[in-house]
Amino acid sequence: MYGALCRSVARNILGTNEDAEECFDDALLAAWNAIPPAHPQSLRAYILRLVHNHAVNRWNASKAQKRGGSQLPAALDELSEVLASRDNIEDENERREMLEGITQFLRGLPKQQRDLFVRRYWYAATVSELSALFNMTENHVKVTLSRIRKRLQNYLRKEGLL
Amino acid sequence: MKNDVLLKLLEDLPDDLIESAAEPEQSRRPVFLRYAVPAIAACMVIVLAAVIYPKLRTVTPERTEESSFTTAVTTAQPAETVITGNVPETVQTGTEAAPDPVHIVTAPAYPAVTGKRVTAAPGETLPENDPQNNSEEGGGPDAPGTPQDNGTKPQENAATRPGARTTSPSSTARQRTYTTAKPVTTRPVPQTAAATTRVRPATEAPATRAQSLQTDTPSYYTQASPVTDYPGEEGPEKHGDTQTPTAPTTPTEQRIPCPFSTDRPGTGSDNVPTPGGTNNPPPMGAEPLSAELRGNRLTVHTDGPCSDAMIAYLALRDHRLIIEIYYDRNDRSDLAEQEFTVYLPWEHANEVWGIESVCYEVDNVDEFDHSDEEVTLIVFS
Repeated sequence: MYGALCRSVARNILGTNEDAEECFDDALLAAWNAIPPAHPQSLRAYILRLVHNHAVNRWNASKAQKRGGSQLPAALDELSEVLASRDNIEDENERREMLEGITQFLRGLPKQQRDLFVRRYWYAATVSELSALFNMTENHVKVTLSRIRKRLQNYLRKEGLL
Repeated sequence: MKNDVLLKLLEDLPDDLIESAAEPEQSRRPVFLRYAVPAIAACMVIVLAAVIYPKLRTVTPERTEESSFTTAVTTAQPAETVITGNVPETVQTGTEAAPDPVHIVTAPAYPAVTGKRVTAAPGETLPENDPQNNSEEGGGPDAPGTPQDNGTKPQENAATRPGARTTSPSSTARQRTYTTAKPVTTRPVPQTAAATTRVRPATEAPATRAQSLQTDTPSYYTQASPVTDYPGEEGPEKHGDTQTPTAPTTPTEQRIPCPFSTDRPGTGSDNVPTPGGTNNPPPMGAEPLSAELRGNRLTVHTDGPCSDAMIAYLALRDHRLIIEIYYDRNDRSDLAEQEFTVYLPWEHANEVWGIESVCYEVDNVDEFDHSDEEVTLIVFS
């Protein structure tokens, strides 16, 4: 049911279809093992999260092998520029505060911009995919993402998180 | 911030944000709708323009209430179309300029022998110079200024006067008298107002023809009769008409030299009748005629090979204008439709009441095989 979406997330993070398929299979197995005790409110979000975690783990494992094709590094680079002043988050509380700040910021955004942001930096979707998905030009997608990042930076500074 | 730290941070985003992003909201309408709607709208505009615009262009002027003066009832003329425009009351008085009435008479080719009766509305009173009354009188006064006005007044038929106009004004106008170029004074009139091929007979009694010229014979147009029957030779009683035969009078036809063309030689008394009677089939190219009168401009449409056509004859008789259009059927160089425009030689367009009929008539003339078309107008003087 969510195969296409999960495979696209894994493929965007890992960069190859084979890795994405293996990642997806691992995620389904993990869901099979975890769901009897777990009761996710949103099955789609739960499985997507499993796929995303497995893909990130596999990407971290393969990062040393310099395997290209992943969209995740480019997306993270864009976002890390905004949060450059905060090199490291050691404390769990700081991480939670930062996460809470980002979440609040995203909740304050219009749905389209919020979806665009999540799709780009969580789903690791490419600009072309976002362009087709949101019926926007690629340039419009890039400009919109850039403005959202700028506003996020301003918001976090205003909240004292940066 | 390092990517791995940022990645860990994003992993804990709430499920509702992830779930919401799974079904993104499209910012714009789909491409199909973006282009389909204007395309459909453009197609609709084109279709509407193609359907409605021609109709708008062909809309005839709104016909106002017809006055009794111009009421015409056409009977027993199945294939003939008569379109009579409105003539305002000012036409009768001549005090005001009236809009140009449009009269279109279409004469189909060779219909069945039928009649045509033009009657007025009930209770109509005709003016003194009503040409129809004049025709009943056996030749009324000629148009003013005509040189051959001999002033003869035939006896008045009391049975048909006054008031209701029951006979066709075209009955006398169907016959003609040639005064100069055509010694054969009369020409047999086609039995119908529609196109009828007639061959001018070789022997024709001028006096008889003249008598018939001045005598209204409505039954001639209301019942079928052989083509060989000439209207003037038929007594009114023959068809049940109560009119008394009028005395033969001198034809009052007046010839008006047409400034637009010249007479074609060979038309007139030297015409050679076609052997085999007068009911011969029409020659090739004999096509329906139609005429349109707009003001004093008469436009005659021919559908056949009418090259080298010209307006050769204008005759005014009994307030009727008779126009002959000669053309050479041997000339096949131009088979397209042709249109001739004649500006009637009247100063006031109101003098022309309308087109009475459009007749087709053939002059089988020597080697040229000329033919002519005859358009008869009703004219008020």
